[in-house]
Amino acid sequence: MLEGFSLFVKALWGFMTPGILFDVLWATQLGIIVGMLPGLTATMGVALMTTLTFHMEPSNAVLILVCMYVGAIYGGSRSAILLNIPGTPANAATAVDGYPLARQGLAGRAIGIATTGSFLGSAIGLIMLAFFTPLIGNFALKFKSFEFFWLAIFGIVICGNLTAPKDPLKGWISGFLGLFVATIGMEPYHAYQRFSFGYMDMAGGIHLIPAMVGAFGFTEIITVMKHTRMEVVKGKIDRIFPRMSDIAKYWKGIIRSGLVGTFIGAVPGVGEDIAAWTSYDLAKTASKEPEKFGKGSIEGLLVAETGNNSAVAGAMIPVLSLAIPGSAPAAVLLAAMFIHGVRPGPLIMIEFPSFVYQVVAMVLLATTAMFVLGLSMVRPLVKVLSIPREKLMPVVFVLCVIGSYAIQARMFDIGVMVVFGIIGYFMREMDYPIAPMVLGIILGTILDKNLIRSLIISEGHPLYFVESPISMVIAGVTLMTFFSRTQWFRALKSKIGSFIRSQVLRSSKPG
Amino acid sequence: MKPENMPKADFITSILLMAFGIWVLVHSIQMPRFENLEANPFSVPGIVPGLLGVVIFLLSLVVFLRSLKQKGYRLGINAAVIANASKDASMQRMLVTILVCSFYAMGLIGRTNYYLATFLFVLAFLLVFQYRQSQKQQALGKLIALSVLQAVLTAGAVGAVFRYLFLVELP
Repeated sequence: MLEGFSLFVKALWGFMTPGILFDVLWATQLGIIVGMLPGLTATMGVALMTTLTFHMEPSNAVLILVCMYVGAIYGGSRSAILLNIPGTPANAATAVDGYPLARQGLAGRAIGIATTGSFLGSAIGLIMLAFFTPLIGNFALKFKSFEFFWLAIFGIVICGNLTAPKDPLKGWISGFLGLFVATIGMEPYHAYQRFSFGYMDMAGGIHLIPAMVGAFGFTEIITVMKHTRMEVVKGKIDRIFPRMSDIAKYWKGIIRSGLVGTFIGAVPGVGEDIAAWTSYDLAKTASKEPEKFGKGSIEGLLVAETGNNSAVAGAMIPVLSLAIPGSAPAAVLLAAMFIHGVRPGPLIMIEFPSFVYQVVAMVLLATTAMFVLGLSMVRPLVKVLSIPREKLMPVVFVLCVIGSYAIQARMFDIGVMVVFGIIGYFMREMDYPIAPMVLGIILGTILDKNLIRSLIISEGHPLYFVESPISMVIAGVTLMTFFSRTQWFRALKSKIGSFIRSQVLRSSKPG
Repeated sequence: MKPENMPKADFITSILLMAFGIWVLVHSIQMPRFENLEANPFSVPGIVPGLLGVVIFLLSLVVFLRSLKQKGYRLGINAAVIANASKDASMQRMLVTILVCSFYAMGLIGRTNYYLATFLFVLAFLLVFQYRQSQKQQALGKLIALSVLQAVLTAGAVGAVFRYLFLVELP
């Protein structure tokens, strides 16, 4: 613990140079602007920034990406409050109470509350990041092929389940399509080119960044351009600096949302939006004033922002310890780390022990910059929201194109971006979530290698797959998650419930 | 998409996805097994995509059966429906966005000078989406001038930043 703290202090001290602090400020500010503009998501911001930081020192590049990530997730609250349109999907819950507050003439107060909630959420998340990453990393050293196989399946099932709560089946299909996409190209055992049909570019496989820029960026451009224009709430921005009484009154909700948000952020592929909604729902259930939720509740706004920003740090826990992203922007961050020669995963505490604490220091710097910039640059930034989408979207698409091309200088990647953008749009229209597909592309390699290794070791015996206690637990949770959403399971559950109730009633009758 | 149309959409997509699952499975079975190299039968290239094809097929089958139950097979597609859809403003905006963007990314980039291609794309995008029939001649002139300015600035700035600051060879 002490060693970890000293590594953290050393990392933080190492970042205290004017050049790096300047990087922190501009990257966080840019993140806030990206987040607040509908059509520019955190994922897209981090993906585009990956191409811009390609030639930088690894620690500087990752720092800028973390600042972009933290800033964008917070920045989305601005448009959620002023436009009723979440800048990023993570801020959808913010709009529920933020916009009514703005309509009541309390836009400044709402922005102040959202900023404080985001700051506190990030702070809770970074404490958890510092504490749990080494623990999980050390525990993951015990993982073998069977455990990694189950972890990949678990990621897809849980992500599909949570990103498509109404119809998890579509989430799972999306995830398995992503796993399939990852099998395109040269396979690792015999160097056979799968599904490449003789094309050299296909033999190299579908890379994450262009697929992701397309699935999140181009899809968003099509969606934004399809819909009608939005109106900014007009009127003077009132007091921005939050009242201490507002924060102190809801301290329980803040801590609960911080912990829940971090936990959900750490679940593979699930992301900040689910963290915000879960925090919001829990707060509404526990609140003394549930009737105010949806009509401009300070508590609702505070917990939603605490939840989504704590998920940012949470999403980095599996990135660093297991090399599995907790959210879509974290997936790009993971890819960027690989590009810069850092290899996250179970061996990180052996190979790069100081890097984990460097990331904690990065989150702290980004969070502090977000808090300061969030409270100080409100009025000029509101003007950014009035840029018409017709003017903004072509610039965004130009960046999507060059961003997809820049990393490998392949024209093929631009095509991949366009195809995934169009597929992503139709998937979204038909309620197929995109996040599981992207997670599938990332987990596909892990699944491919570890399933084959497991099959070779076990010679195809299924019992080997659940032989170790860790495999058994992950497999059990995965299967429970899967079957708990089936109709016959729900019917069985209600039958068991009514049987137990009848037994209890019978035993409680006198005589 | 309207909720009442979802069973119809599910009916069509599930058929496509089932066909895709079968296609993946068939291709996976046809992949070589390297028996002449005495490869372990569990390491053959088709095993993982084959299993994924089966899972995609089974999950899509459930969506298909569910859509049948919800009478999704009653597609109700006729000339009037197609005509209404093609007149829908949001549908037109979506199609134009896809067309203009795809043409720039896959038609112009790599075949034309990057700066010129980007200038043309941004200008076309701005004019297509900002032009209104009712616009006065004077306003139209201003719109064109501003669009040209933004297109020049975007093409120049993005191209220069990537070429000279990030040392990327432009496509």
